[in-house]
Amino acid sequence: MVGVKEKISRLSSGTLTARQNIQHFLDTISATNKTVNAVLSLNPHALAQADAIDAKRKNGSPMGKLAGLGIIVKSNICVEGLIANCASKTLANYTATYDADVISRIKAEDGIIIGMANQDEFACGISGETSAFGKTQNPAAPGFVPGGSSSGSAAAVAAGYCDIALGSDTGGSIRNPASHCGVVGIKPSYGRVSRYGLIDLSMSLDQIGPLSTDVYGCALMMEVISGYSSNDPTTQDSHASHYTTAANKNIRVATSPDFDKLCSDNRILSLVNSAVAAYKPSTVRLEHIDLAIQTYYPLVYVEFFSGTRKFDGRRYGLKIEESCGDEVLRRILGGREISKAEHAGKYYRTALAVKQKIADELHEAFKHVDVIVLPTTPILPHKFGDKLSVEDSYAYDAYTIPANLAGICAGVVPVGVIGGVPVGMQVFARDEMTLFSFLNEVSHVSKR
Amino acid sequence: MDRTESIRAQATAIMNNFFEALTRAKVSSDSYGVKATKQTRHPKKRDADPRAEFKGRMLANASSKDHDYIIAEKKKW
Repeated sequence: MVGVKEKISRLSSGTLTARQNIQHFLDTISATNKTVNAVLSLNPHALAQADAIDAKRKNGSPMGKLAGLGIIVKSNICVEGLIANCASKTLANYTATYDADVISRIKAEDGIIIGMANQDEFACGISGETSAFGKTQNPAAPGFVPGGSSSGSAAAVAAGYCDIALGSDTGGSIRNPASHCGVVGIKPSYGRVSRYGLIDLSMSLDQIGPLSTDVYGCALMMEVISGYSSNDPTTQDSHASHYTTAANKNIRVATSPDFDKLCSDNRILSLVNSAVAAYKPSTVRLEHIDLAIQTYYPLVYVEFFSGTRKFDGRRYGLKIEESCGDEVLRRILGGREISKAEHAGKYYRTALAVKQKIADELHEAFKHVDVIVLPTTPILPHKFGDKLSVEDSYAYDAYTIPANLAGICAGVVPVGVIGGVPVGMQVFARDEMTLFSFLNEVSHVSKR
Repeated sequence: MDRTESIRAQATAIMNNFFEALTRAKVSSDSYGVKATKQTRHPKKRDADPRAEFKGRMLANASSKDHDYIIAEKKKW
């Protein structure tokens, strides 16, 4: 597969047209998506939009940063005129009536939306198995789950269906599938990217982010989608930086012994540690990191219950409780239960208090180091058909959730394979410039 | 036990297990957030299907209406 930088070079020079690029993706989707099931619907205007980009280039007009590149979008992000069904029967035929901020920015930079990606239903999942429209396969490791909830986005990149995909990450939903599918994935700092137009799972934790075959593709997309928006009051009042050229030779790298007790497969820990051994990482202590899962889920349950009250069957499709899968229903009913007046908020407020402790520990660590390196998941992806308890499913998030709780950015790059299954190394960073500085440097160790 | 009740019971058990684990962090739920003494949700009053009375409530709350239609003018409601 051609890297994004090389693809842009070919588009700029004219050796490749936007139409050729998009047609290639559409042909590839047509050939294999029936098996992979990464894409739920296509943009019927994609080729016409590609032709418009080619005409614009021929006229000598200034071109956007994403000119001619093909983008696939997770189905919980609104693209005007396309189905935003969150992979649920609840919104089966819901056509978005407006563009999310990230989509407006992509279009302004001449990116072409190819279609909508499959996902775990309403982003409630870690495997890509809970979509109402069928499981997504893992193109990089057939028979193993692709991860979730941005399963289709990661699989689409791995299968060669697009240059860059968009996913959303609340507790690891970009990074988990990025690791399992052997691609690069970024969860931005909270507030770095506007959530306007994202159908929320948990408003205080959600972020939209990119997935691509290389760090450059993700960095480029971050340059496009980052920045303040008046549509989302939680966005940071800062302009996007030049992530594609971020470089810093003096990055202080750390790991933490507190990660070891969370890991169920030491091969993963060994692979990740060997990838950064040359940096002679220091160690930081993160005392409460092993409570991340227990902190996260009460918050998500309550916020998701709140956010789904609008799906009452009057305006947006069906009543969610009557049309959703088990995990979605579990979060709604659990959220309803623990937010009852009789509990006086103890579940949610206790979780908020521990969330603050975890965040404080990470922010304290970043006073002394620049990046913290760790595995993405404590175990390799399971195989389709394997039965997991709910708690075992939630345990996949042990390494990814802390970044969401602290609101920091995190990225995943492939660092090797174990038994034919890709493994991604995760990096926490104080900010995106630092993150991309390190990822730009370390990505040469990735093995596909 | 029907599906809904089974899932509700499971979710509640998970939340209780998680809450017990969080007590290890020695934080008090009183130490964070604002206690809302008013506007708390009362399941008995709210969880009944409100669809039957929804229309009536909407029309009753509307400042301007014409039979079954709510007349909503900018900045006037």
